[in-house]
Amino acid sequence: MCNLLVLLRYSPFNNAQGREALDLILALAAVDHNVSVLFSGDAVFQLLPTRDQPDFALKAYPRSFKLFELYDIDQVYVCEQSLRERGIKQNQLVTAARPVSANDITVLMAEQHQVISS
Amino acid sequence: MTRFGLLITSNSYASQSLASALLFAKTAVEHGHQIDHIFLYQEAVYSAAANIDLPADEPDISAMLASFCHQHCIPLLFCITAAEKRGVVSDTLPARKGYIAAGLAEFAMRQTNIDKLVQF
Repeated sequence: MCNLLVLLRYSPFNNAQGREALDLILALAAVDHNVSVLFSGDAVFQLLPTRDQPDFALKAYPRSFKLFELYDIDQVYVCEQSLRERGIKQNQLVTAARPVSANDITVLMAEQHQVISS
Repeated sequence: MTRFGLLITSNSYASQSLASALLFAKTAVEHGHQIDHIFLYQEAVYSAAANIDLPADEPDISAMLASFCHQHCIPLLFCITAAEKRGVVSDTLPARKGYIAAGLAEFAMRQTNIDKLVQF
């Protein structure tokens, strides 16, 4: 079992990076790795309620974040600064994620065997 | 000796990622390190396309990578789901020689064999 962090960096609107990251996260958790997920940069938009947007043209995969619980992924984090820069409040997020500071992120990364970015 | 896993996710034709990964792998092997696997995911699965047709003056890095991996017995894996979604492989279209179809589960399991994962 490894400590693996998946670092999400992209908005859900432009490409499949987030969607394919979700597949990867679930696959890693399915073989009993200790998986953490960090939403940073434009990836914080993945935590907003895309399911209610009729003009969201790509697959609305963020609704599948509810699978995190089923796969025992409870270390889900969001970069505090990325939220602040984009004017997003914690209570607007539909997926529960623990806000972390730059210092927390440093500690989190130091605990990992590997970090995968997507 | 370090055991490396390489994960390639950037577009393999439109970026330098494949060339960088190949250079890294060659250098690591030359210095006595081990490459446990190379796994292609996301845009990198285009490397596994059998029908790549390049002009004669362009280096065929995906062929060079396959030949390097063959020579050193390094599993060169690509995510079958990501490849099928992009039309790179199908039931009637096999992958390029040297590229092995795998699932994300295989990538996940291989993480226990390595010391460092390097992503390109």
